[in-house]
Amino acid sequence: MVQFRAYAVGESRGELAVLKFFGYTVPRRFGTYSIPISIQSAYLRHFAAGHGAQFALPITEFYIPGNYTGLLRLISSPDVKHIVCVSIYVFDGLSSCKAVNNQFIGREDIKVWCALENEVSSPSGTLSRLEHFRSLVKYSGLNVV
Amino acid sequence: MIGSPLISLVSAPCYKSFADVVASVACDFGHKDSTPLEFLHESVSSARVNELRLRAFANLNSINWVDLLGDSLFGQICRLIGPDLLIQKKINLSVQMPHDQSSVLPGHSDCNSGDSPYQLNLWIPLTSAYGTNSMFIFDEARSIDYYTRVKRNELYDPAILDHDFVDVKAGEALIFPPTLYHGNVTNTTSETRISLNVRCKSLFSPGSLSRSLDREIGAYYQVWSNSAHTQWASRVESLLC
Repeated sequence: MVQFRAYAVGESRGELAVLKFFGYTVPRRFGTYSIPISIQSAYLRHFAAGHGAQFALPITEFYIPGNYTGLLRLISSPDVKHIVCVSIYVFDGLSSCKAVNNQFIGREDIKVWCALENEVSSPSGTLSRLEHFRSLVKYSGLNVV
Repeated sequence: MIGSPLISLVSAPCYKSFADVVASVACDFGHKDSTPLEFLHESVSSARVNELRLRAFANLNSINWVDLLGDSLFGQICRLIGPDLLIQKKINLSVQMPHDQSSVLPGHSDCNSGDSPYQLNLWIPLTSAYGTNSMFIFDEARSIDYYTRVKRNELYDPAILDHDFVDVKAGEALIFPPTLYHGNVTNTTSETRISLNVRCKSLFSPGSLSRSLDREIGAYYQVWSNSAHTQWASRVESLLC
């Protein structure tokens, strides 16, 4: 059996570290998506397996639009170093929730993995990329609310 | 906490049939049939408990658990929310071994991810549940405090006190609204707690708060019962429309 281990981003090949992904699922519309939690969870589990990473049970966000209490709980834990979500658009609207937004970008030690877009970045990098996508996707006529 | 008018403690003799299914699976994992399930942790490690749980879950959902539950609990549920009922498509199994952190479910309301606030939880321990091997349920006032903080995007980390845990014997069932803040903590007793849980709601009550089909009939619920009155009314409706 081939053993596959994902390297922690930034570490040299001489230092192996098993990644632990903390899943973050969202039970409300994000971007133009509305993806059932069970599907998000299955996809994230598959994504983690593909990267040879351990996968912790996902934290599910509150269904209330604009609520990020679930994310707040994740980033409040010092054990969380890697957050994985189905899409960068789960953070759409986070900028309106200044308290959580500020704590999020304050955790620059975290890597955020956005599976569909295949983006990996720090929290501030993730939000920056999201803004970049939003600025471009409008040319397709898509109204990403 | 059992004194709350929102929580019913009822007799559930059906638990024995469910316990037999779980015990049968446990035997495949080296557990002796003569040893009570409370001591499952003496023969099954926490590393294997999820494998056991998944197998028992599959076996439980392959029997006619709805009828088994109904024999014990249907009458009480009818009195609470009427005779036209939906019930979850699968019955769920929890195994909480002593000192096993992986089975801890932090405090929450089932509404968090958009479940209907009108549903009821049926919680059926197959072993006696007490103290930290049981679950805690907060009262209405503290649950409202939780919702208030959530709406403000604040974390809620309340102290969980001894009297917050529910004592429920094997052979009893708890019926409660999962909108009361509830969860469990690390089991510091010397006994494993095994319990079933399933949600039901009135066919006519409002559905998922998140308006998501994965919390509706089909993906989440099945029809449990339709009263004669509702069947007649549906028939008339289809004739007239």
